[in-house]
Amino acid sequence: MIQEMRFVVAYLFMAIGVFFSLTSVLGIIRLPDVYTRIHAGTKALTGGALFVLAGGAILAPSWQASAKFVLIIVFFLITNPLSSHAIARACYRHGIKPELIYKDEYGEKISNKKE
Amino acid sequence: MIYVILWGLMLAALGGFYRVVVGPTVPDRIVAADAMTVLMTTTLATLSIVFKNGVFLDIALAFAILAFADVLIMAKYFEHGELHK
Repeated sequence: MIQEMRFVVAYLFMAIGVFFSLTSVLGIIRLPDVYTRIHAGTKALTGGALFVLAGGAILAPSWQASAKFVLIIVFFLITNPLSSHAIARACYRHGIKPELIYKDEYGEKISNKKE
Repeated sequence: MIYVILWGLMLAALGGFYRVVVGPTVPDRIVAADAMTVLMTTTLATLSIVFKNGVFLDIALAFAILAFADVLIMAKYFEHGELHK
């Protein structure tokens, strides 16, 4: 009984994670701009990977394997926002402006600092 | 059931590969490649359950670290045009 419940919970988590991953990749394909693509490819994809890895941690045969799954989860939580922040900053400093924008406060701040 | 999960992850990676090939600018390609590395790490961790082998988890961790450094170096190179700055 407990074993069946474990399988059901793990596969439910994995299915939710795959749904998040597919939605995030749909966003990467469909959205119009670099920054919106970063937005889609960071948040939803991190959530999807976390759900799949949490399902794997429940499904893993030993506690050492579960600990490794949790280690990968913590690593994703730390590094994925960091790398996307680095990409967005590099894009802006390179000179790519976002479309569909009304007010560019970061650009004004940078130009004031240069003056 | 676990093969359905694997096929879903590979389908998502295929969408990222489409953006890598088509993507109009360089950061589009970097973002899509980052998404593909995340999906590949997740696939490796899932394969460790399929084959009941713990080596895949170590490889997944090392691959995640390498992909993180890779994206940071690509972003720095794209920002400055050179690495030592």
